[in-house]
Amino acid sequence: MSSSLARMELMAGEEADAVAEAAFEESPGTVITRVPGIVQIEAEGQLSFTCALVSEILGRPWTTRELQIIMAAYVGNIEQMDEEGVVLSWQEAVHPAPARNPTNGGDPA
Amino acid sequence: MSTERIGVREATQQNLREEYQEFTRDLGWEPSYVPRDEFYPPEHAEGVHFKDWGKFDDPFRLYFKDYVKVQEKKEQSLHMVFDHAARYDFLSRVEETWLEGMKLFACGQGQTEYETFKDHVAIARYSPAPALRAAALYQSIDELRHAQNYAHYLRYANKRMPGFSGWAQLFQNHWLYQGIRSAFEDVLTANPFEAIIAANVVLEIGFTNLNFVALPAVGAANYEHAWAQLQLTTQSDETRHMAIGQSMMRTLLEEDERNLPIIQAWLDKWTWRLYRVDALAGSIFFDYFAKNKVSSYKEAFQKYFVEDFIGGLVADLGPYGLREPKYLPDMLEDMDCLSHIVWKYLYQRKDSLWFKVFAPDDQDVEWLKEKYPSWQDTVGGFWDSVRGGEDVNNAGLVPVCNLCHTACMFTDGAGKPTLHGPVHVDDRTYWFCSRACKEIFENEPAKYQHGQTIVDLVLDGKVPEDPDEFLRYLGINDPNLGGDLYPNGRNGNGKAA
Repeated sequence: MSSSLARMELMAGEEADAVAEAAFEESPGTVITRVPGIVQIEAEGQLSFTCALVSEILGRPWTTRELQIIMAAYVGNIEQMDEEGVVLSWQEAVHPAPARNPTNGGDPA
Repeated sequence: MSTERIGVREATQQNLREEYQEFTRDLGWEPSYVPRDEFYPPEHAEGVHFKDWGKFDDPFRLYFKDYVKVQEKKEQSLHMVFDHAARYDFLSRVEETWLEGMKLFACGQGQTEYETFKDHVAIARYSPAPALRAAALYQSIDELRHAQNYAHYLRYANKRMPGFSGWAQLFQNHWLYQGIRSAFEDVLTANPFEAIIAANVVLEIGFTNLNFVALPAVGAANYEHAWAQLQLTTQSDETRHMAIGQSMMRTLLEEDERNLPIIQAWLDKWTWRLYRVDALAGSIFFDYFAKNKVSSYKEAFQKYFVEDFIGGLVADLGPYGLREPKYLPDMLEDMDCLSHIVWKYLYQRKDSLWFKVFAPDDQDVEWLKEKYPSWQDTVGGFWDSVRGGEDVNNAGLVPVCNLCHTACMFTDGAGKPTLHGPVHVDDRTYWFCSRACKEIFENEPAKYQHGQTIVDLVLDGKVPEDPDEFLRYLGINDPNLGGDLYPNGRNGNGKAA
């Protein structure tokens, strides 16, 4: 049942399209799906983009404060969310390795 | 504030961290007039171990000045949609079946947001972690914004049709809302950490994407655009709340292994409590109120609850020993019949509702059978009787679960309603709708033993038994509310015959 897809669901519009394009440029494996009102951006393990690239695509300065206005949902751990950009990830390498679980032979889930 | 930073305003990660520290965590203060233990009573932490509360951080690093700016933009864009919808009369185009569902959804939603507002005021006061106090304060303002926006929606819809007024009384008294009310009051009376796991983790990460992302897509497909936007703007705040919950749960598990059994017990309890809430608040909207269907509740539950929440978050915390919620197998077993049993139950009691319900038409039945292969066995016979003109109304009292306050309507594998119990505490006997509710009660009898269900209230004479007076008590003052949306059946287009 374990899933490692990192995902963001944004209210559809100019900004959502720009974020999708920036994420796709960063990682061409990114999958973009449209449902009514929503753009869903999904990537295996990690989803990331820089504010600089989103700004360039939009043709105006853009920050993660504006992302907060249109971000309806996300899946993953927020590793970074600041003026440089966003990293949403399930990858263990990004956070410190947790203590192994003694009850399942030390296997991480 | 360091002198070289003044005047240097270019956006860097360093600046943001410092500003956040300065405007949020540095505002935490130690009381001088009372001991710390009186200010933040340790019993409020209920056994949670944490050495340095100052270590906990908000992943969004939000502080008040920024928060206000972001929220102002959200409000402007929402109210532009509302103005537009009112100006061009969007409600006239909403599918009529969906509009009936809105009466149920909107009358309850504002109240649950208001309950969550109260929760977070309490967390902002009693949490020993400074970053959590700040985040909870912002969240309390968020929840109040949501409550007010749902009140705005009710006003907007109420101008056009009845069924959107009287929401405070309905939420307080109507039998249908008692399960939802009991769950939210249970959060309010929990300690700040249990409340964070219940509200920010289980409710917001586990269930809100179902109701605030998947469901608006269904709403939009049924032409209710103003409500869809209301759900999405609400959810844009919830992403921040999720980040707090996710970060808090991870931090507690990382900090001390003695926290694991406490967190696990809360996860087990709240996934079940809120699953019961979503039976009324979510399942029937996907499967029944929607004329134009987008996905089934079972599919949406699989994606957002099972894959994202359990397969993502809970599995990610597996290395700390966190397991899948105890009652997940019960939910998965229930999933094939959940919305159908609830819808049938409502149809049998349609004369005491303030929204109208209806029999599924041929197109609906075809879709339901495709999405739920056992649909015919579960409720097919019932709807055949309805089509045959049989009176299926059932206004009598049924047992109500002493834990979740939902009627004991759910069935076993053979389709028979089940009652779990009895449990005896002091001189009272208690019955439950499920094994999960029974066990949750048994774990904390002191918390739940004094609860009175609506049936208890009727039997005690505290609620009128006379049918007309009972309806007025519930909040139904207009004989045109409730009943069947299509009392004379439907034609081939699914419209009233």
